[in-house]
Amino acid sequence: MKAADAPLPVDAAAAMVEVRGVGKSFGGVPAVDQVSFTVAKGRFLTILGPSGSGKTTLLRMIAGFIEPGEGELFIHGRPVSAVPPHRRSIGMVFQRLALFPHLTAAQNVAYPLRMRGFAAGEIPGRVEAMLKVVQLGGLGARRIHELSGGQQQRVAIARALVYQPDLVLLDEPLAALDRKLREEMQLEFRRIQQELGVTTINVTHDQREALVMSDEVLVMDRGRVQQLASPDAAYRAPANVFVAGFIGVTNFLEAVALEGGRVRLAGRECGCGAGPAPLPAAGTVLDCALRAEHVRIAPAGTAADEAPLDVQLAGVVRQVAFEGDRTLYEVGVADLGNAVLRVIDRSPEAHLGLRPGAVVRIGWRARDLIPFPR
Amino acid sequence: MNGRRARDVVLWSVVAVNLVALAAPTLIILGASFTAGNIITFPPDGFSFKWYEKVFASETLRDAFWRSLQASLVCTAASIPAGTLAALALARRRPRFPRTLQLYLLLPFTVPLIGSGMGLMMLFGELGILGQVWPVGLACCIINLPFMIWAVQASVNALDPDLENAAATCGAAPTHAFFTITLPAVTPGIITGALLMFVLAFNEFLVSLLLTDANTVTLPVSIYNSIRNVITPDLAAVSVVYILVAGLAIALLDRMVGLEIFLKSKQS
Ligand SMILES: Nc1ncnc2c1ncn2[C@@H]1O[C@H](COP(=O)(O)OP(=O)(O)OP(=O)(O)O)[C@@H](O)[C@H]1O
Ligand SMILES: [Mg+2]
Repeated sequence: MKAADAPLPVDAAAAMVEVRGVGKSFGGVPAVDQVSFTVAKGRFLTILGPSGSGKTTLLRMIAGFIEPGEGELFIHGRPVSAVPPHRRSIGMVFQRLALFPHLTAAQNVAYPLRMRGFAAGEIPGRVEAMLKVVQLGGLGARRIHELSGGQQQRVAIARALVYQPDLVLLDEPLAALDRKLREEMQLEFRRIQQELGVTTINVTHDQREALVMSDEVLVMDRGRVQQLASPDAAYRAPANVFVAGFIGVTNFLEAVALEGGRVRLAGRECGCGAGPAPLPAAGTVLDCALRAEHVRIAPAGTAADEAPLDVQLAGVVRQVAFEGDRTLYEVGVADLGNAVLRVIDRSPEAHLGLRPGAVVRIGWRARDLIPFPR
Repeated sequence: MNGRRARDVVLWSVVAVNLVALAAPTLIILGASFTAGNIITFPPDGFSFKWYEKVFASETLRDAFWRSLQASLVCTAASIPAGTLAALALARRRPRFPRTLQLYLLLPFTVPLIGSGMGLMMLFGELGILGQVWPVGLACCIINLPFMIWAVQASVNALDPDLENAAATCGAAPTHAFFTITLPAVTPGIITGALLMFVLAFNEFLVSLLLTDANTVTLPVSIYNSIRNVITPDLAAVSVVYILVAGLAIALLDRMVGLEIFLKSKQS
């Protein structure tokens, strides 16, 4: 191994990855704009955002395929702008996997070991062990095209992890799989990641995947960071209207701030939960987020719900979508200026009789109404 | 039910006619080459190997065959690096004017062969390399290079654009990644293109006619020279040798990359 090819020296105290004010424009249009965050060793961070929000661009800058237009990236506390991709000690699983088509599964997994100067004698053992971790033991001799989509996925994961890189990057590698396999692989990857303790940055536009797999979620929109939080916090305490709308099924209601932490909603006064900022002065217009699963629904005239609801209104069912473990209703509410509220009901069998046109009672608890100043 | 039957009949008749039409020239020439008579006829007049004996005994044809082989090998050897690098550059480096460049690379097809032949003749004359065999191979490489580029390009386009990036994250420096990943991954296209170039050069006539003299005639030119006198069954026998060479090339292709890959690469 030449001196120039030696891996970067390790500075254990620093964050594994630090992104500081990084930006990149294509033809004058910013794809990534002033992004900063850090990932500590062993953590799993997911970058979540809609299509075109700059997730791939950001990931490729970390990998070194794209040079940042501004800002600086640090891996192990060292700036990496002068370090080419093949010396960054990064394993990556690509969106289309990018497995080497002319090699077998085992040769694919052995490739990074060969390139990184591992002793020839220990390579087969490591490959074998890694294939076992991804549950591909015995399939090493297969060509890539002789493996199923899920098996190819595992080869790609094995290839990225086998030399124990400092950092693993995933660019939506699960997006192409069918739902069942995707959910299986999410848990599978999480298991492997925790087993090996490898720092991971994952990119996805699938909010469920982000919540399931990650220690931290970085929500992006139009190139900018919207929120960096634990999955729990991103879900329960969204930082802004975008995050509130992007994660989960969310209704937005216009309201006006009142004194004493209350709001006026369609002419009636009611309480609300805690937003990201204290309530502004009375009279300020607010957008209030109300998650579909926080709205209770019951046929009109039945006994009150067991949970005490702070707001109760009459509505008419417009649409019913039965999804097996839950039912999604769209309910027109006259008292809210004929707004249509989306309501998720987790006990579908209780309300099977509800059809479009049915008159219902809906309600929610005050703390579930999250106010965002405009 | 009846309509479907009628359609089947029509379909199969068309297929049968096609098969016969494709095979007929080959079958006729194959039959004629085994004739025992002295003129080329079909059906053949008796059966013998005498025309094959004559062909293999003929020093002129034998020499011409070896020269053709030599020229074809030169052509193939030159077209592999030239075509592969051009195809990779076109597909991966995203040149500034990709369409213009593509069109430019098609030029050898738009200029009539007789035109490019004369151009090459004058160029080679200027360079003082006429009268040798290898320039004929070089000429074949120049006029047929688009085939090579197409074959490799089809292979490159089927690759994941992140293949080299993947190699980089595995720790391979760019040149290393090229030789250990990119090149092997496009090898099916290179083999396909190389065999195509070989067969095309082996059959090439018009340009060779202009570039060769009595001492450097290649096989097609030699056959043509004989036809000008009289068509004898030995020419049928030479044609069969030709068919065998082409068949060998196709068998080789099938063994090395699989015909279906070749056919698929032609589709895209
Ligand atoms: N090479 C490029 N040239 C020009 N524009 C680009 C390039 N790469 C990305 N962009 C633009 O930058 C923006 C962000 O793209 P990026 O691929 O990072 O989005 P993404 O969040 O990964 O989206 P997706 O979920 O669809 O993959 C997009 O508007 C895209 O059109
Ligand atoms: Mg992307």
